[in-house]
Amino acid sequence: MASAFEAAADALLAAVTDVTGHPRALLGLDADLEDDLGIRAGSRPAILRRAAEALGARVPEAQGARTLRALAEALAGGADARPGLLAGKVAFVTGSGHGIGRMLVRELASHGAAVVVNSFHSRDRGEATTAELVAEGRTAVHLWGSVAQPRHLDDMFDQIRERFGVLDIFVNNASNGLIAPLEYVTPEHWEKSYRTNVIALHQGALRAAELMTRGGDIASLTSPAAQKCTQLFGCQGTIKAAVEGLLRYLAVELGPRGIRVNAIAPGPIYGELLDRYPESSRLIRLWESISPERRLRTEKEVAQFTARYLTDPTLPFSGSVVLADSGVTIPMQAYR
Amino acid sequence: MALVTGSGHGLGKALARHLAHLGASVVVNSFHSPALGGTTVAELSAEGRDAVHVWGSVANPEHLDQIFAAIEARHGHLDFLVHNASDVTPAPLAAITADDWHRAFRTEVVGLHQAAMRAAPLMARRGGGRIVTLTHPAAHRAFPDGAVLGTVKAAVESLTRYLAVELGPKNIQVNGVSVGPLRERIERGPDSERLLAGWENRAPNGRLPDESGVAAAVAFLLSDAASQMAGTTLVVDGGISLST
Repeated sequence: MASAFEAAADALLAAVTDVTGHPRALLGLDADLEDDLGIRAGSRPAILRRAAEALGARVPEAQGARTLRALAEALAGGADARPGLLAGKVAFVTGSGHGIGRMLVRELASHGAAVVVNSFHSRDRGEATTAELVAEGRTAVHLWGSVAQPRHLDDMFDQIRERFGVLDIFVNNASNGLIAPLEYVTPEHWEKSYRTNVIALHQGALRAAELMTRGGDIASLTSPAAQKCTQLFGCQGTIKAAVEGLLRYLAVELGPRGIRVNAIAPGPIYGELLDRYPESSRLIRLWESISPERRLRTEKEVAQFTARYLTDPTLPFSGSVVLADSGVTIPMQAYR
Repeated sequence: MALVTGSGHGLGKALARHLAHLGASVVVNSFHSPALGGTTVAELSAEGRDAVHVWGSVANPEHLDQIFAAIEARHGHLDFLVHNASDVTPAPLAAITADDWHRAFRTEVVGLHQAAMRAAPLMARRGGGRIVTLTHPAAHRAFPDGAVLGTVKAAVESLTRYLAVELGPKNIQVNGVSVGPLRERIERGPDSERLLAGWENRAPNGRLPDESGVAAAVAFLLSDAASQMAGTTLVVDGGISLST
């Protein structure tokens, strides 16, 4: 199947880059591993292990492979042959028609989860994301609705109950907030952002917990700007701090039901949110220059990391804010 | 010239009284309990202090307009804003309503932001000013029935930092005081003996903070000694949140 191969190739190239440091642009699928890329047989197991882990697949036998394409085919076979780490699980990601949410439902689906895609403002993108997944042989349904409206939430959780009867993963990803200096923030901006981020997490988590009859995971996206000040993030940062406050109470109160509650705080990432940011090109250059890695992360990388955490129920986090910013918020920026 | 929001009774009243006795002209503000706001002012006036009562809700932008118009008309400027007003429902998560969330947020967060935005130009007239926010260790540790309190106070602490950054260029320093369970507040409430003993067991020296201790911390943040601090939160909780 082409899509399984593409996913395998993608994971493989990422793994090769991670292990060897080779620039991804130079990795041709048909290049000879040893002669063209200098990848000896000895370093292949580490690459395959990493790629297989990202895919939720078993590590394939691939001694005879001479090209990246052959390794990717072996990996793709492994992905098809073995149920993913989330096989039989049901995951609901709010605001998943585009951006990080979309990447995250794709990751969770690639691990075998049945995914519930949600969109409100961008219904067409929610439907397109769902259609893509279904075309790839995944189980995915789209639910339209606003997380800021308790009646919409009721309706969406009712549909999840009818369709699946259970929920294992709930990710509070939908967000809304003005990116501007504080003097431009109005009570209406505050209200909208608070409803979408904070009340929606509370209301969504209570409804999700009812369906998590075999335990589960609740995760929220947050931002390092909740704890440190990022230009123009006064509204978003304050609201995300409230999200972080709430998640600790959710962790304490839902823990006895076998539910972990955590938040992921990615730093600035390449993607549509950053592109919409005022002065985005200047800020991207600034953040790249102060980042210890000299680059930002991608939406896909955030989704992969989040999915990796969600596929491992043994990780001992609850009530934690996992700072996943590659160190970009360690150096201090000038205010002017 | 100091405005203390929510200062008709309790901690707010203690803060207003402390600042008045340090020589500040204070604007006492109350909403749900205007009679108590009036009493606070009458007491201070009888003690020879300069105090005025302004009724209004910090959660209502129109009320804030009136509060700040009254301050401008009377004094022409403002030096200190202490945002103490709070409207928080103690409840387990399953019992918290959308209304609980909104009332707390509008008073604590939107009220702080809107009050600060209105205070800043009045402070700039005399070259700067100070803002002190009140927060709670429940923002970081789980307190019984503390979800609304902890959630909105986490937002208050974040907004304190952003206000410090964005109002710093106007020479306005913004800092917070995180106030743990207060001895007086527990003594005024039900089941106080048992609760007091429970909290005191968690304090390293066996004592909970009291209103005068908090007032001293607020006064410190308003003093010149704190002119080099911005966006910090002083924790006045008797050490109860230190434990694992």
